[in-house]
Amino acid sequence: MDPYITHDLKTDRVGISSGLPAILKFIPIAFYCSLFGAGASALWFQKKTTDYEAESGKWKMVLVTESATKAASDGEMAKINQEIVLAQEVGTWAEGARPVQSLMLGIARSIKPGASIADIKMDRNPEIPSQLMMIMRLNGGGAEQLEDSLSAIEAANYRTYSAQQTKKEGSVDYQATLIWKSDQTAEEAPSATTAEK
Amino acid sequence: MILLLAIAGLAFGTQKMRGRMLAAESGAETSKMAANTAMQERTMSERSLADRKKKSMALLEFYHSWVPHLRDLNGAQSGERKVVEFIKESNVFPLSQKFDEDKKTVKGQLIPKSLKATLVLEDDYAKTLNFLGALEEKVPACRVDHCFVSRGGAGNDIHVELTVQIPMADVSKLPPQ
Repeated sequence: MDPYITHDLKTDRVGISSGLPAILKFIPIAFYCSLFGAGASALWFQKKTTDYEAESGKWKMVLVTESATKAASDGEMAKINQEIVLAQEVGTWAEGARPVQSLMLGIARSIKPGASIADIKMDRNPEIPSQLMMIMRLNGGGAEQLEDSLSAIEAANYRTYSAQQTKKEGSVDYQATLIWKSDQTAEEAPSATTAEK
Repeated sequence: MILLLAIAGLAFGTQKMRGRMLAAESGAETSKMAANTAMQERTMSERSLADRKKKSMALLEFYHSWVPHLRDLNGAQSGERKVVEFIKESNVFPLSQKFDEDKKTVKGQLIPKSLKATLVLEDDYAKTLNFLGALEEKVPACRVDHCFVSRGGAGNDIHVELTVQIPMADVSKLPPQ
């Protein structure tokens, strides 16, 4: 026996506790699986996030463009509406600015020999400027002459309204409101264009 | 224990990233809906505009044909000058002529006020009626408010009393030349 070897003196150790459960052996496996899974998921989620952000950016650009186009369209609409208001005002004025000379001339030309116009007066209705209040005094010619003059008024595209006539010896006093006969196109735009004048 | 904590940490981190992805997806969906709504609104606005243009084309053409005539009559002086020029050109004899500016002004309108010309003429029938015709033709915006025609003193003469309104347009409201 070697005088320096002392371990033979120790008795064998008896186990004080049982070993770890076998299931705990899977913890490191679970750790490495989790590490791999987390890494892959992180990459996937990051890619999808970037894609969605890019898509969001694209739709935001579309929103900006569409909004700008709509604003331009709305601006043009406002401008047209403003012009329409002005145009309607001009139309109202023009309805009351129809020539009177051509009407007078037509009536004068309707006078047959033996008859004459003593005087003729036309006043524009201040409430409705498109209407004319006419007072006409005819000398001679009788009812026939009056008919001819009324035909001339009709030919000038006016119709009479609220007519009154007084027959005196050798003359006829006639008064009526003259109203412009509307045609279909007058529904869309006033007919008193510069071309007519 | 440490490994379990590490596993829990990894799960938490992954969950966070998933949350971010879902938020980005939701943001993209919201942006898409907003863009689609804007596209629909833009389409409707353009359609309304095209419709309005089509319906108002005749009226606006009429308006634009009158603009040059209104632009010429932008003040009392220009209106008065035109009438006096016509009287001289027609060589018609004016017994009297008077020009008054309308006291009433309607604010905000294209034609806020007008010039009233009161003329009394006595001359040859043809000359006088031709003067009236020329005035109405060359100044189509003028409005004859009162016209009284009777026999004149001599021969073929007629006596005409005329009141003419000449509009004084607000040029700033007219479209640029």
